[in-house]
Amino acid sequence: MPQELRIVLRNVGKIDALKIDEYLDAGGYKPLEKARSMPQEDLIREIKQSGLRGRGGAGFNTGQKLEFTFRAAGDQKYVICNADEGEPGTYKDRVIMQGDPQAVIEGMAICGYAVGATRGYIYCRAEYSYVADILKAAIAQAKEKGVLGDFEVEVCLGAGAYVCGEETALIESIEGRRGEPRCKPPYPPVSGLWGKPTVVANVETLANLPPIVEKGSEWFSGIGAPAYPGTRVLTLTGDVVNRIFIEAPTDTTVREVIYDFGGGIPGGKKFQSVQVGGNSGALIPESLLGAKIAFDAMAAVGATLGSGAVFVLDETRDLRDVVCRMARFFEQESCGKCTPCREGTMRIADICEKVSVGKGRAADLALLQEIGEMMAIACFCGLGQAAPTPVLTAIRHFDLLGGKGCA
Amino acid sequence: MCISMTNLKIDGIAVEVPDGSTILQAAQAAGINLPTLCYHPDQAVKANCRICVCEVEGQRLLQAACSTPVTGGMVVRTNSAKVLKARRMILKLILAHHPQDCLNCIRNQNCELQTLVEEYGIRDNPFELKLKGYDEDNSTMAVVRDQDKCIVCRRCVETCSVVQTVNALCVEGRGPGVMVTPVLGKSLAETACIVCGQCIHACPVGAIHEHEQIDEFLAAVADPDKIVITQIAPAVRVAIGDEVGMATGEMPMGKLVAGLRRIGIDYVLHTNFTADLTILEEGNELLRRVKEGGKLPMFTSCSPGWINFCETFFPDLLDNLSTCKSPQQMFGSLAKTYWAEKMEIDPSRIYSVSIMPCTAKKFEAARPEMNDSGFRDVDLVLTTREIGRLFRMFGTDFDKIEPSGFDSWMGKYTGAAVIFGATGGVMEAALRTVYEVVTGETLDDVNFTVVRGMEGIKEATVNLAGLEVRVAVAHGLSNARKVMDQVRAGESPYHFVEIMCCPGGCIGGGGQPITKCNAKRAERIRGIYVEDEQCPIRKSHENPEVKQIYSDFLHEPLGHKSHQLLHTHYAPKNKTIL
Amino acid sequence: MADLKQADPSSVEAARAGNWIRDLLKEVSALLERTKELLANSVSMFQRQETKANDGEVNQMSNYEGLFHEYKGLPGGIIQSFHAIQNGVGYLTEEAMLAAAKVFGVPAKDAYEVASFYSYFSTKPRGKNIIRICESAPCHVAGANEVIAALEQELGIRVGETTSDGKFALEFAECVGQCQDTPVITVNGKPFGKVSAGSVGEILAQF
Repeated sequence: MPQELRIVLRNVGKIDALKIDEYLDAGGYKPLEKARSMPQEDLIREIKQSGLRGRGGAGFNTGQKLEFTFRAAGDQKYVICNADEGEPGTYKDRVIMQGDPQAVIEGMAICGYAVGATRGYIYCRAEYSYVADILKAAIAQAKEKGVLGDFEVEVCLGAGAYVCGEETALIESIEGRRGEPRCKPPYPPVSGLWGKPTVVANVETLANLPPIVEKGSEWFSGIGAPAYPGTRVLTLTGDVVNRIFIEAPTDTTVREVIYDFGGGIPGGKKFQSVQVGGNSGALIPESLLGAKIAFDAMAAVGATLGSGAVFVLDETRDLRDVVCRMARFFEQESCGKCTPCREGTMRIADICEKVSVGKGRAADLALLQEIGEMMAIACFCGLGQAAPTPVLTAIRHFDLLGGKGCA
Repeated sequence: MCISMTNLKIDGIAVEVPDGSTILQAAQAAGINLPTLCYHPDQAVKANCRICVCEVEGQRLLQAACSTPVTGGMVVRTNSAKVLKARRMILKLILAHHPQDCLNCIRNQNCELQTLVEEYGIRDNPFELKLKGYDEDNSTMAVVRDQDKCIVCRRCVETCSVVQTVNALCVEGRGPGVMVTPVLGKSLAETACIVCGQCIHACPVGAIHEHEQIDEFLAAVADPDKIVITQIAPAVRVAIGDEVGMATGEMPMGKLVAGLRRIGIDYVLHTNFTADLTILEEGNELLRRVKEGGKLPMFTSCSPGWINFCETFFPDLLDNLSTCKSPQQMFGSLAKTYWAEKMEIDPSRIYSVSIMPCTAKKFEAARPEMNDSGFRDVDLVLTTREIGRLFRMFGTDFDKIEPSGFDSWMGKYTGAAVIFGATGGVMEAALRTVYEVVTGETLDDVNFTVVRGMEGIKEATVNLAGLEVRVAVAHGLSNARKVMDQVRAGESPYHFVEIMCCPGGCIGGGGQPITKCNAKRAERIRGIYVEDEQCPIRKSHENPEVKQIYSDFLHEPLGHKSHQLLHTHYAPKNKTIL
Repeated sequence: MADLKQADPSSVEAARAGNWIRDLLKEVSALLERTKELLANSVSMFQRQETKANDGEVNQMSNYEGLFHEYKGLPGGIIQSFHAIQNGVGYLTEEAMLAAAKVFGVPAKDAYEVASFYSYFSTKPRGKNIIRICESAPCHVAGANEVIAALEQELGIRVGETTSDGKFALEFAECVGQCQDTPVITVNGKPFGKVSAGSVGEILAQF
C-alpha cells in the first residue's frame, strides 16, 4: 500500500499559516540560516546534487538554473515565484501557499542568497487573490521577525491569463505588459525581469528547498525515482472516489495514484482514460497505468507529469466532448502572438467540435494529427507546443470518432 | 579589430559568420533565401510568424531562423520535409483566415503572402475559409485600413510606435481574435494617426493602403471643361521607376513628363518651382526671426505628416513652425492666381493635381484653410504608386516614349529644389541661399554634405559673416520628438531645424513604391544628389522663374501677396488618445 | 465529501486504507474551513468598494488616479492599477485607461493593449457582481453545463451579458484552482464549490 510522503506539505494542516511563530517552532528558517552560512557555490552544488527538478512542468534541474543565474553578470538579480497555477485540475500550489506560505518565502530567500538576488516577486494569479492576501501577511510577518535578512519579497497579482505561467510571459506581465512570451535565448537566468538575471521557480519547487538544505542532497536524491527524485503533490479530479490532494514519492505509479490513493472509480464503473499534467497532458489508456509518475518515466510512455493534476475519466464519458472542451481551453488561452498557435488552436477546436457532435470523419482526424504535429515543433512557446497533446493522444490511444464509452 | 567568428553548416554549405549572428543571417551569407513574413531588416526581431523555422540537428523543436543565434558546429537544414510541411501548413492557416480576393487587392503582385504561397505551391486548403468580419476604415481619407487582411505580423505597430512614436496602432485582444487595430478600437481618424503612411510600407499584405483616388483623376481628365494641371514632387522621379520596371533613379525626367501628358494631364509643372520659392520665403523668414528676436529655433513646415505631428503632440510649440506653406500648397494657390493670369485661363476651370510621395499630402490638400486662391488650391493628390498604376493602365512604354519638357511659368527648378526630396535637402537648399544673402559672397561649393545621410539627427554650425547659425536635421518622428523635447525643455541650441516626417525624407514617403528597407531609402537619396549635381542651376534664388514671379506678382519675399497666398497658420489638434 | 465506500470492505488492507483516507479527508475539511474563515475576514482585492461606485464622481482623471495611487511608483504597476480601478468603477473606462497611461508614462496604446489582453479586465461596462463559471474539463465533466443553464435561467441572461438591473454579470472562466469541489463558480473572486442547479439560487441571494 503506497504511502504519502509529506515533504512539501510537511506543515500543511499542522500549523496556522498566519502564525509565523508556529513555522519557526516547526524548524522554519533554520535552513535559510544554514544556507547563508555556506558559500554560494556550495549551496548551489548541494541543490544540484539533490536532483531537484522544476515542479511547474518543465522539469529543469533547479540547481543548474541557480548556477546559471549565479554566474550571470548583473547589478541586480531577482527571484520570481511562479504562482500562476492555471493548469486545469491543479490546485497544489494553492494548498502549499495557503497552508505553509513561509516555506515558499524561505525557498525564495534561499534562492536569493544562492544567486545573489535581494529582490523577489511572487506572481500570484488573479483567481487566487485570497491567497495573495495570505502571502502578503506572511511576508509582513517574516519581515517583522527579520528572518529574511536583506531579501525583500513582494506579491504581484496576475489578471487572468494561463499563458503567464510561461516564465517569460510572466516576466512581461510583471513589467506591466501583455503576457506574451519572449524569444529564448536569452533565458531568464541571463536576462529576465527588467533584463536582469532572474530565477523563475514554481511554488512547489521552492517549498522543497528548505528541507533539502536542512537534510542534505543525499537524503533527497534517495527518494523516489533516481532521475527525478523527491515527491510530487498531486490533485485528483474527475471520476475518482477521493477527489483529494496527496504527496507521493516520484516512483509511485499512476495506477497506485488512481486506485490506492484515489480509491478507484466511483460507482463501480470501468476506467477509460486519465490525463496527468493538466489540460496540456496526455490522455493515456489503462495499458500505460504502470508508468511511474516521475517526469522521464511519463515521457517515455508519451505522457506528461506536468502540473501533477490527475484527471480520471470513466467508461461513460464521451471522450469527443471532453477533448473538444480541452481544445477550446487552448483557443481561449492562446496569447495570439505566433501564427501556428493563434490559428492552430482555433482550427483544432473547430474540428473537435465537429467530431464531438458526431460529424467527424477520418480525414478530420488526419488533419488534427497534421496540425498537432506542426504545432508541437513550430510554436513559439510551450503553450502552443503542448496544446495539441490531448487530441493527439486521444487519437493515438482511443477511437475518437467512436463516441460514448469508446476504448 | 578582430571579430570572433562562428562556423556552422546550413544545408550542407559551410558558413562562417560573426559570433552572435542569427541563422537567418548565416543563411543569407550562404546564399540561401529563407522565407520570412514578420521579419523586417530595420525592426526588432519578432519571430511570431514561424515561417522561417528550420531544423537544427539535436533539437526536437524547430528553430526560428530570425531569432536563433548560431553556435559553433551547428548543423541546420532549412528545407527538410519536416520544415516544408510546417511552413506549408502555417501558410494554409494564414490563408484560411484571409480574404481570397487577390485579383481585386491593391497589393496584387506586390504582396509578401502571395509571393510565399506561390513559392510554396499551395494549391488547396483543408481549412474552411473564415473571415474576421471587419469593415474597411477610411476615416482619414488618406490611409485606409483593410483589417480583414491583417496577418498580425505587427510590423506596422512597430513602425508607428518605435520609428514614428505616434502610437496610433496597437495589438488588441488575445488568442485567435488578436488583431492590430487603432488604439482603443477607434477609427483611425480618432487616434493620433498623422497619416504619414509609414505603416503601409511595413505591411507585407494589403491590410493598409493609400486612399486610392484614380477614379477622381480619370473623371477630371474626361471632363472637357476641366483643365488638368499637375505638379510633381522631387521625390517622385527617383522612385517611379520601381512602378514601371526601371531601376531606382533611372526614370529620365523628360519621359516622366511625357508619361504624364499621356495619361491626360494638360499642363505639367513642377513642385520644385515652389520648392525654390519656399527657400526664398523661408530663408527670409529665418533671417527676420534671427534679427528681430523672433521664435527660435524655427522649424521647416513642408512635411504635412510633421505638421500633423506637431499639432498633435507639441501644440505648445506651433509658433516655432515656419509660417510658410509647403511647396505643394504654395503651388496650389499660385496656380489658380499667378499662373492662371499668365496663361489667361479661367481659374475656375483649373483642376490641380499634385503627384506626391506622400499620403499626408492628401490630408494637407483637404485642409479647410487651404483655399487662398479663392478655390480649393489643390484639387487632388495622387501618390507615386497611383501614378504608377495610371502609367500601367495607359500602357505607357517608357522605352519608346519621346521625352517632353515642362510647361512655363512654374516649371523651372534648381538643384536646390531637387534635394528637398532627401533628408537634409531643405536645410542645404536654405543654406545655399541664406549664405549668399547674408555674406554677400558667392558660394563656390554648394555641397553642405554635413546635413546629408541617413543618420537620425544631424547637426551643423555654419558661419555666415560672423553670424554662427546652428542647425539640425531630423527625419523619422522618433528623432523629431527628441529635438522637440529639447525645445520644450528650453534646452535647444539650434536656430533652424529641418524635420521630415518620414525616414530618409520624402523619398521614403508613405506614397512611394512599397519600400521594404532603409537600404532602399539610401539608394533613392543617392539618386537625388546625382540629379542635383546634374542641374545647371543649384541655388534657389537663381531660378529665373522665381525671379520672374517676384518681379511680376509677389514683389518681395514676406510681402503682402506672399502672406496672402504663401503663408498659413496652425492649430492644436486637441487629440486625447496619445 | 467523496464517497467512502471501497471495493472490498472485508480486506484488511482496504480497512487500513479507509482509516487513512478518513484522516486525510478530515485534514482537507479543516483546511477548507480555514480557507472559508480567511475569505470572510480578508480584504480581498475583488470586494467592491461601495463608496466609489458612482461613475459620475470618478469620471475625472484625478479621481481615477486616486483609485490607483498606491501603485504610482511601481514600475510596471499598470496591471495592479487596472485591478484597483475596476474595484472602484467596475470596468476600465476610456478615461481610466488614459489616466493610467499618463501616470505610468506610457502611450495610450500600451494601456489598451494590456487592458484588452487579460481575462479579468473589461473595457465595457458590466454588472456590479461578477459571476464566473469555470468551464475547464474537470468542472465540465462534473456538471458545469447544468450550472450554466441554471444561472442563465435564474438571471434571465446568457453568459457574457449583464442583468438589466446591472446587478450581475455572467462570464465564462477557465480553471480557478478549486478542483476538489467541482463544479465551481466565483462571485467577485470568491469561490463557491459543488454548485448545482439547485444551489444557484441561494448563492445569488447572498449578493
